[in-house]
Amino acid sequence: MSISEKSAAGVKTNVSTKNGMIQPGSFRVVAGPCTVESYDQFVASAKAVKQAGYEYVRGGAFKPRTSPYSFQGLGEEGLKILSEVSSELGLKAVTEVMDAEDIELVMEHAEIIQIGARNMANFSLLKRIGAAIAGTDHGVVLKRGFASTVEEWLLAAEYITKEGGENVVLCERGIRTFETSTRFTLDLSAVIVAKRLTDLPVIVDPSHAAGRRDLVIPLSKASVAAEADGLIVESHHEPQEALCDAEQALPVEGLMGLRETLRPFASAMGREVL
Amino acid sequence: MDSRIEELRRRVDEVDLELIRILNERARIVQELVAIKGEAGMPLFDPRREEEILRRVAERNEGPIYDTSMREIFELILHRIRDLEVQREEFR
Repeated sequence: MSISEKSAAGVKTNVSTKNGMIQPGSFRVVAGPCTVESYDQFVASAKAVKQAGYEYVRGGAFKPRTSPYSFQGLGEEGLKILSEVSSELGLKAVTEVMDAEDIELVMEHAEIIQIGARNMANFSLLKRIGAAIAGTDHGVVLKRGFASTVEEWLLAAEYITKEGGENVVLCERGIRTFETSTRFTLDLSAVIVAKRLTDLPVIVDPSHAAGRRDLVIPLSKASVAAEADGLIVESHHEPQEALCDAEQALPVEGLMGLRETLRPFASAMGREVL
Repeated sequence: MDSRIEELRRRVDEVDLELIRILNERARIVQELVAIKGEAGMPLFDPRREEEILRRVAERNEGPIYDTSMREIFELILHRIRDLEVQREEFR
């Protein structure tokens, strides 16, 4: 193989994180509800994630809502439900931290810290998280700000890695454009560009990008083809009852079918769906 | 008056040609560098090195172009040459 063919700039299906979240030749699916609403709700949604064969569950305890009057999440109580249910089911938990004061608390309850699009440029938070996870198996999912360039996104990740944080995974979740038929516009070219420039894994959040569940499966297929290393999708056992982002959550049957739907696409890209 | 303008325009054109030659020379050196970095498994994105270059550009700049403008010009040069490398590696 020539130098250029195996250059770091080429297509990478072999990137990984030390904590095993992203593994070479694999396509990681993280699923779960937008928010931890109650024990009963979260256990029902998390069981569906487990039944569908996935190892990572998402669920928000601190919610960055556009309106201060919208449901803000259960906070510490939500984190306790998240960790209790995920450890009962043998799942790893992904949840967002919004305030630097809560980093240690979140790390007690979840393996993966999510940094939301609205906090991507909160550099003091990025640095604090980088320092807090240094030398641990805790990872970060860094969402791209919906008005941020790829360059800004990569530099945000650099704030975390510079402080010693490892296991950083980038997440494309759609950007603001003039289009109104979707909530945001999923920028799949950014996935490819980011992967060409760095060795960081890149996953896609088709749920927040589209804001409507009928697009989640097609965009998931497209993400596989666009060299993404995984997905983070919203799923709910009763989407119509969800307190947050109800219209974009996959119902149980949708989640169950996702793996089979993605399998041929993943296989064509030399990946296995995890 | 007209001939003086003509003369200055000719000199600007000459400088532009020299800039083109030098920028392509820079790109070729980067191509060599990227090949070696690729062999060593190093990513193209290297913000620390980029900042070093941009800081030196501003330090060495004697004007009349503002330091901040010179930085912007070089940022574009750096990124466009880097983009070239991203694409070259993919389609070769």
